[in-house]
Amino acid sequence: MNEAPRNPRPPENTEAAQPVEFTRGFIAFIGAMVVPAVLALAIFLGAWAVSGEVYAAEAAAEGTGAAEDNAEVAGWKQSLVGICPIH
Amino acid sequence: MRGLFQRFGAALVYVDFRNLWMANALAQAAAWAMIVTRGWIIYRDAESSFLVGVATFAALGPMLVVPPIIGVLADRLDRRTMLMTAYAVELTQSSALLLLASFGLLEVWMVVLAALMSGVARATALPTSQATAATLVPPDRLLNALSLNASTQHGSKLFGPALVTPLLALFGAPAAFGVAVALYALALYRMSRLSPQRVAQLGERQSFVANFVSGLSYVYSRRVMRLMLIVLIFHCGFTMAFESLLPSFSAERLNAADEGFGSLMMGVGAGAFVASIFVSGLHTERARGDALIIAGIMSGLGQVLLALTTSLVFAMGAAVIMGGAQAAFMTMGQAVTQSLAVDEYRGRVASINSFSLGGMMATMNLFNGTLAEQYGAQSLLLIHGLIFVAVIAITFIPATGRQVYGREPVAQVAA
Repeated sequence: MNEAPRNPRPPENTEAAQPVEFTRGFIAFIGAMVVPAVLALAIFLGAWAVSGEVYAAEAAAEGTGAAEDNAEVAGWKQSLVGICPIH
Repeated sequence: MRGLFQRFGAALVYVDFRNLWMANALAQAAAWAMIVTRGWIIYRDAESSFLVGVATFAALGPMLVVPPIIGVLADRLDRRTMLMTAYAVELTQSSALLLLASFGLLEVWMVVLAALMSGVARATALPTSQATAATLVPPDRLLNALSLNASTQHGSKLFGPALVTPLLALFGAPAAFGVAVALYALALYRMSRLSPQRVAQLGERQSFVANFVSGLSYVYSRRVMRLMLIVLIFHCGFTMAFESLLPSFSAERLNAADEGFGSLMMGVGAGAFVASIFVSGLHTERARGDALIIAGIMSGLGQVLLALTTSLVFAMGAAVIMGGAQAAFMTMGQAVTQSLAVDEYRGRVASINSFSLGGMMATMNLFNGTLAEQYGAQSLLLIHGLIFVAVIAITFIPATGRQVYGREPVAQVAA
C-alpha cells in the first residue's frame, strides 16, 4: 500500500466563472435552495424564544393546558434538530 | 480478501484519500462520543432534557448557517488547512472539557458553548471533506470514495457511543472526554499528512455574496446537476424527514410507545451502514445508475411498507430497507453532483448540497410532526413514500433524467 500513488489526478480542470443571469427560473431555484434552511432556522429560533415562557407557565400552573403547549414547543425543537446525518 | 479490498476499498489505494478517510473516521467517532458525553453530563448536572436539546441544537444547528460561508472559502483557500483548523478547534474544545471535568470545574453553559464550537467545526469539515475527496481519486472511484466516507459516518454513530458508554458508567466524564481527545488528536495527525489542497483560481476575485451566487448559478446552469439536486431535495423532504413521525407511529400503529422509536432508528442506522458499504462496490456508470433507480424506488416503497406494518419486528425490517435505500440514494446523488463539478466550484456545490438538503429535512420534519396530529403518521408515511416513487418515475422521462440515472452520457456543458 505504501507504493500507491499519492494523488492520481492531474491539476484539476477549471472553468472561468460565467456571468450570473437572474432569470425567473434561477430566482425560483435560489428560493428552493435557500428558503427551507432559512425557514427551519427561523421557526426553531422562534420556538426557542418562547419556550422559556412556556416552561415557566408549566411550572407555575400544572394542569392548566400549559403542559400541552410545552410538549408542542419541545416537539418543534426536536423536529428541527433532526438534520440529515447522511449528507 | 485482496479481491474484496479492490472492490470495496478501491479508493483507499490513494495515499491522500486514505489519510482523509482515516481522519474523517476518527473525527466522526470522536464527535459521536462527544454528543453522548455532553448529553450525559448535562442531564446528570441539570436534569433537563431541554438543555440536552439546546446542546444538541448548538452542535447540529450550524449545519444550516455555516456551509454557505464554508463553501465559498473552500473554493478559495487551501482545503487541507481548513480541515486541519476544524479538527484543531475540535481538539481544543474537547481538551478544555477534559481539563475542566478532571478538576471538577465543568458547568453546563461551558458544555453548551463547546457544543457550539464543535458544531461550527463539524459544519466546516463535512462539506470541505466532500469537496476534497472528489479531487483525490479518479472519477471512476469517486462513488467508492464517497461511499467509504458515508459508511464511516454511519459506523461512527455505533462505534463512538459504544466506546464511551461503558467508560461513562465506570470512570465518569473525564475518561470519555479523554477518548474523544485522543481520537481528535489522531484525526488531526492524519489530516496533517494530506498534501496541500489549494484550488486554482480563474478570473477576478469576487465578493463573498457574488461568489456564493455564482456557485448557485453554476449548479443551476448544469441541467444534470440541477435535476439531481432537485430530486435529492424531494428525497429529503418526502422520505428522510420521518423522525418526527416515528414516535406517534410506534405508539399508535405498533403499540410500542417505549421501545418502538429507538428500535426503528436502529433499523434505519443498520440499513444505512450496510448499504453504504454495498454502494462502495459499484464501479461503472451503468451499475451506479441502476442502483440509483432501485435505491430511489426502495426509499419510497420502504416507507410505504413501514406504513403498512402492524408489528414491531416487520416494522424494523421495513426500517432497515428504508435506511439502506436512503443512504445509498444520498451517497450516489452526491457522487453525481461532485463528479460533474469542476474543482473550483466543488466547495460551493458540496455546501449547497449540505444546507439545502438539511434545511428541507428540518422543515419537513416540523410540518410532518404538525400534519401527523391531523392526518396520522401512517397516512403521511404512505403518501410521502408514493409521491417519491412518482418523482423517480417522472424524472426518468426527460433526457436529462436519463442522464442522471446513467442511461445516457452527460455532456459537460452548461445549459
